[in-house]
Amino acid sequence: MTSMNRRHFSALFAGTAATGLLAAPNIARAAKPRVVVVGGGAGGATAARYLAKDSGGAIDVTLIEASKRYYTCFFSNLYLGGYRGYDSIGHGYETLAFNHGVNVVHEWAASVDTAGKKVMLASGASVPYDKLVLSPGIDIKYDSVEGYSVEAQDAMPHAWKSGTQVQLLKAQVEAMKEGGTFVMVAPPNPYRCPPGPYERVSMIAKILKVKNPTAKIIVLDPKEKFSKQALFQEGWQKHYTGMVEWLGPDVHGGIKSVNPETMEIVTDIDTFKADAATVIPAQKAGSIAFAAGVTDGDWVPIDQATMAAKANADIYVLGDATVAGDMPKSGFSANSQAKVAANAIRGELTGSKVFPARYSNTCWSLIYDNDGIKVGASYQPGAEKIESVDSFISQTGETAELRKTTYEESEGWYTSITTDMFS
Amino acid sequence: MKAVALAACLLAAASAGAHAEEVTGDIEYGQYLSSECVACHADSGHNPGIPQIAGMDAAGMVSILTAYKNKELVNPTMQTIAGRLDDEQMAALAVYYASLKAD
Repeated sequence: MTSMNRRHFSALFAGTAATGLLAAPNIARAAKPRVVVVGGGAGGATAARYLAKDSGGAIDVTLIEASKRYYTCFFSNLYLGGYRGYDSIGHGYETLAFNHGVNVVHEWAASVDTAGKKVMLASGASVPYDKLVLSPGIDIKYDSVEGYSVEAQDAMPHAWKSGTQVQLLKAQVEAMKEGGTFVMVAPPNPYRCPPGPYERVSMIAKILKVKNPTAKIIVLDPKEKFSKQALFQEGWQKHYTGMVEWLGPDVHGGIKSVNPETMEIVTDIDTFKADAATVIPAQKAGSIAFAAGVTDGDWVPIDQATMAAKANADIYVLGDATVAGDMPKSGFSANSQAKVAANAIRGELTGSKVFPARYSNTCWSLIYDNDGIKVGASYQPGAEKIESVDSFISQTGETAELRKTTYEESEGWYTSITTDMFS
Repeated sequence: MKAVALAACLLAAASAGAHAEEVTGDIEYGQYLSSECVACHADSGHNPGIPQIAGMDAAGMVSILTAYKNKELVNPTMQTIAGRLDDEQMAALAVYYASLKAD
């Protein structure tokens, strides 16, 4: 580490000396390559941290993130189920600024002037870049479910971007009448966090098992199958016997509409009346990706070796917003992709050695107390896309001891990945 | 149980520095490869649920990674991670992690 920093320092020193700027440090500073990162989640925070840390100050890194405090989507289900406090999933950006010199700007990035290479802020200011990293996460396609809207999300929270929506959903589940019905409208592929809706079902069942054991949960799913299905269904049968009913399209015949005023969900075969509900609509890349002109359809195609957008070599895109081949849309994936992009960007801007891209992901889910499961894989750039090298998944019928170990592993992972993003 | 015993044995060997042979590897490459590890294994500090690897003896780490690669140790995440590490990559990682300070 020390030798690397020294090498970078020497390179920088040689550069400034050669151009005769040694006596004008402010000009020398301005001459540093500039990277602007938009979005301070698992992709963006990690990218900003690695760019600043590994370049040893040779790159000027600015992170633009509207929120001063970031509540992770991952583990928001554990807050919902009462396993974590809300504060424990919140993180600030002070340390990125203090430890690594990242310029943190808490503003909304409205658009990108790709010709002038500037990010335009909602305040009217602009931030110039040599390389731009977009890690905007998802936007909700409200009109993908008839009757759903921004206004409807108070009555039927999507709660798919963490934060106050999850707090609202938790309060609504806890306030359900005795023996009431909770309905989830699950999302169509592709969406953020493939096992997430089913971990959410498990966590809501956990609340109800304690507070309201005669209540029911109905899952209306547009998909014929879902992530870790056998594991979740085994767990629901074991811990929440008779409480959870999952209905695929062959049973409900199609989700027609939702009505947030009457709390009804209409399907082809029946109308379901909910006492509380969550509607998780279809999703698309965050809006700045569209403003930057790097999308194709709802998502951003990327170069599988570098995470650079196929439409613009100066813009790198990370995480849920991308079409990342075999990789799922997850915080772990975004964190992994950020390191590949940071390595490639440093190479381009400072001439540092670029190592071949390698990616990985693990998604843990909690079903009940100490009943953790996981799915994961390693990935590499293939000819056409990011492709899976090897993968694994928890098995049905595993011992309670192994499930507890898996849960404890997930707790350790949360600590480490948030440290890797924010420290 | 057999795998747990093996892991305990390997860890004991690692901490005791029982492996006499020297591991040589590219520390800069190791640092890059370690970015895959740090999502779970914190570079510093104790982290319940995930073993600490910072400061581990290099030969011990190569032994453990090899055992995961050969599926003699059972954690499927680690089998997948170690499964695609070649000898050069294992050595690079081991040399890098040995250079870190254990808490």
